[in-house]
Amino acid sequence: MGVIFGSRDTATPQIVCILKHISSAQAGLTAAIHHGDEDGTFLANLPEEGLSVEETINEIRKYSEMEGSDWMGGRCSGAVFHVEDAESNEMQIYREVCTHFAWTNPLWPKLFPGVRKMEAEIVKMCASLLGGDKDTCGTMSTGGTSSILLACLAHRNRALKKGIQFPEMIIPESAHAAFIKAAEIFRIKLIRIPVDRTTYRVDVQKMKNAISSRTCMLVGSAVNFPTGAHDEIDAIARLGLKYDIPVHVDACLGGFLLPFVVNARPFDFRVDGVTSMSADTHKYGLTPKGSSVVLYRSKEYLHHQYFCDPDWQGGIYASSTLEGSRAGLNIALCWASLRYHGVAGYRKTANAVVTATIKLRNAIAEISGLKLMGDCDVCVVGWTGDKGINIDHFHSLMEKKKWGLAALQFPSGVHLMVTMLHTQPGVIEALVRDIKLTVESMRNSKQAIEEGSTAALYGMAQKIPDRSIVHEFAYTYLDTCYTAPPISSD
Amino acid sequence: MLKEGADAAKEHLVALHETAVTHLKKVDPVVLVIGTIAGTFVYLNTYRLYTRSEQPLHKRLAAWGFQQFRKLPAVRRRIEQELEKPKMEILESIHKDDTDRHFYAAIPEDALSSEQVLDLASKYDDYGKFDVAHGKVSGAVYTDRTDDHLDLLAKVYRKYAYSNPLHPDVFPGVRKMEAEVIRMVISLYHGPEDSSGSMTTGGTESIVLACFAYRNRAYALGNDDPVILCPITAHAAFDKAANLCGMRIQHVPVDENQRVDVKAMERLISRHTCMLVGSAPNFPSGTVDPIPEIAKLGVKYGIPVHVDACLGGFLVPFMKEAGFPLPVFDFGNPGVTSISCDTHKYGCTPKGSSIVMYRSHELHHYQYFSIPEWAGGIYATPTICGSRAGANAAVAWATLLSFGRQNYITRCRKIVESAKRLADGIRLIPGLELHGSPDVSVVAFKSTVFNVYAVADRMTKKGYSLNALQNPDSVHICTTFNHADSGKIDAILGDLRAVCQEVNSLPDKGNGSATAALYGLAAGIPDKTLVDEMTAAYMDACYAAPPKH
Repeated sequence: MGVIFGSRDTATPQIVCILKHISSAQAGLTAAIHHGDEDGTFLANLPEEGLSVEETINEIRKYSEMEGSDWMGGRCSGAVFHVEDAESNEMQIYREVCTHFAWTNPLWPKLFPGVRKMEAEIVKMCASLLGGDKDTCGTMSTGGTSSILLACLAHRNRALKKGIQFPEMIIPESAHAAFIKAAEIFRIKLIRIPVDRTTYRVDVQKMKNAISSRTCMLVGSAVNFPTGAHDEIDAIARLGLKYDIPVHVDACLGGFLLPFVVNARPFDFRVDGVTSMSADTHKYGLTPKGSSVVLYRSKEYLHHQYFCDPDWQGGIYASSTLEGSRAGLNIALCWASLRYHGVAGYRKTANAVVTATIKLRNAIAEISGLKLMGDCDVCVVGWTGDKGINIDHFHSLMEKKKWGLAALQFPSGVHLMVTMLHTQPGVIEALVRDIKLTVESMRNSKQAIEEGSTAALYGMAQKIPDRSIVHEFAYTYLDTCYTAPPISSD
Repeated sequence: MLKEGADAAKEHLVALHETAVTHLKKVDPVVLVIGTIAGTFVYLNTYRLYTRSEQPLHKRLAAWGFQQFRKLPAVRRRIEQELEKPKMEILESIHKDDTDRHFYAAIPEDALSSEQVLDLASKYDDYGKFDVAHGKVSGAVYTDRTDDHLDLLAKVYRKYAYSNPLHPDVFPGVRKMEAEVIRMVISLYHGPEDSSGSMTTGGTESIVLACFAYRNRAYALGNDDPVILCPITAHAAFDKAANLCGMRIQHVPVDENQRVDVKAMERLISRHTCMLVGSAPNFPSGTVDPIPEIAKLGVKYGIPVHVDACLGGFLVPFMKEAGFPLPVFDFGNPGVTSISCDTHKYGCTPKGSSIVMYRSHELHHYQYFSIPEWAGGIYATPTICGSRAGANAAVAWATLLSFGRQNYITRCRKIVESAKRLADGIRLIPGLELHGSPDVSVVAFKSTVFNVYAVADRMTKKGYSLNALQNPDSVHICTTFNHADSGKIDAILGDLRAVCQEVNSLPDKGNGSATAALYGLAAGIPDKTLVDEMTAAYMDACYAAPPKH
């Protein structure tokens, strides 16, 4: 699930060595995943009689106490975007909304007209924020991945309709993994364009060279996940206009930040040629998890996303997104959140996040031995090692200091996605201090990376020529998430 | 003797070869090469075109002809004019409960206070309430929403609003809850030791994932044109899966009880078949397919069998103990390789959770997705989503624990008893007959005397919400715990009887009612893209600002 954390070592790419590493890393992973779950219980059966409300709440408390990493203190990259306080007004709203909308389902707009209207309004509110006009339309989805999948699906279906039998999509290699997922699920051929090695923006000239009669969409990120670089959307959009190819802007990260950044390069529907966008409300929109929007310039594009089975025995069946039944609750919460924060709230958030990002970036730029990856001026700061500093080693040392940075690969690096949690006083300062200390200690002594750490696997994974081994490893990781803890009772 | 025969055959072949060569020599080699290439090209494209749809050729030709006809400017204008009115009606009907007609099209400049937000939210919540608690609604809300339960959910929700199982290291508690929910459900279905599963956002995603897994398995086995074989009564999500994943789908006819015709299914199996589907029960008529026979086919031909128990997922495992035994439909049957089961229906969890489970990890792995090379790190996800709402898992977990198995058995008994009572009552209403066998909780009916859609429309006027079915024209009521009371069932039957009498006394036997007209039109047009257009208009209307008066 998600990005498997960890750093790298310098293992020789020999199969025996690799397998040894994998098995030790697996043991490490199992321990890491079940960390904090020491009593070894695992509920594999429904209780015969139901528990009372108090009993259930007590059980829940055990689990919420497990929530391990100190993310509230701002030591993790991304993941939680909002300073959460269980007694705040905001949480009171969510509690209330939960009791009203828990069983609503927009699949039945006539039964649940309220939640239907909320979804329509969220789409319009986001469209207005992102420079849309009266024709801009779209739907909500359960998250950034779903939004991206839906856009790819719509553009694939449009291409199929136009008679392109084998559609291709052109994406920057820095684009989100969801595009690759979309290519696999929807059977679209994927062409990945390298990024410039100084700006970390996609090379538009190479993108142009890859365009063919089969191209069904071009993609740019504003901003991308690995290094927070802001692709040249206007240049990509010009290509789109010139060759009549839809252009998707992935603003899952930047959607609620860039509108408030002074002098941000154009990225939204105000750019001619941008035909669709994805923006996550549950990231910098600060809404509870489970909501995102996908937007289109006009209905012509959106209609290719709709699914209709006119012949189904259960009635004429139509659904607007990947799901059939959907959680109306997620929509209601998102709606309440947008109304509650307001533009002023988002402007404040964006200012705080960008200021913290730039503070971190400037600090890292001054540290000899580390090198920034691109501009890093919105919400992600990515850096790599320089002058003999091994970034993998650096990462594992930071992990020991309880900083949850995210690992990057091809090229190796680490990043921190700055959220509201990092804008709390002293967090960035503490991080910079630990980074400096770590680099200092690395310069002074030659320590080896710990054998068998989850980190050890990561770098080695880049050297394995047979990628299926890495797939398998990733699958084992997923399996482990769903197994009983090592010593199980019940 | 045998040798002589073989020699003669050999001589004959040699002679044939020589004749062919002498004839071919007369052909220009360039023509021969080009002809071969062109022939292959034409063959592959024709094959692809032919296999793209299940429809017989004449229907496809008719549809194509109609589409071309529609492109004529005069015809197009006329059709657009004709559609204008129904489109407006759709818009009006979607927005009829929107009493204030105000629409927020932009995020407010300044934040609203919590009271303002809550006041607005409860206003939306009050729009056009159907009386769910009195059993007026078919399906949709499956539980009685007690205050205790809501209270519990709100408390759980508060702890997990921002949790996300995409980051198991950050949220180990919610990861464990999800793992436990999956395991509890697998246990209900007697999963073997190696069984494994995932939690999804709903039945459609569960079904799409199972199809996706079997497609990937087919690719791995060298079948590059995988076909889903499912009953025509299977859920539309299988069609959706085929569309999304670029697979083909073939529908198997059903018998008079709406159970899939297993013989026909066997005849349709080919080397391209990547999965067989049975429903327990299906959505339209609530009938349980003969799963043991389908599973036998699966074992015989080495094809995975998916059992779709989305609708009845939290009824069928309890049917035996509730006193209504069914043939073995779960992993207890060796041919069944995967099952989809919705927790958010009869499992009574809030909307947004369902389980897809597999007999073995090996099968489950075909559903996983990972990108070893991603610049943002090794990326791996078990389902379609990336980030997911951890709260959905947490509230599902809390619901399963606070209900307990005995409670589900009791509820199952009450629901199935009500469905049987309803079915018995419908049998006695003049003009109505049951459609399919009401095996679990859904009761479907049709009529040869009057138009059954008119019955549904008139029931809507009485405050009911029933589901219209098609092929054949029929209507169903999906009973939930909100119907689990003989008084409520008798009230429905009383209203239904009165409405049937009314419709029967109409001169046109109800053929003029709105739903009847819609389905009549849809059935009459060869070109289904027109229906697509109307449904697109419907969905657009859902996202549109309310029309001003």
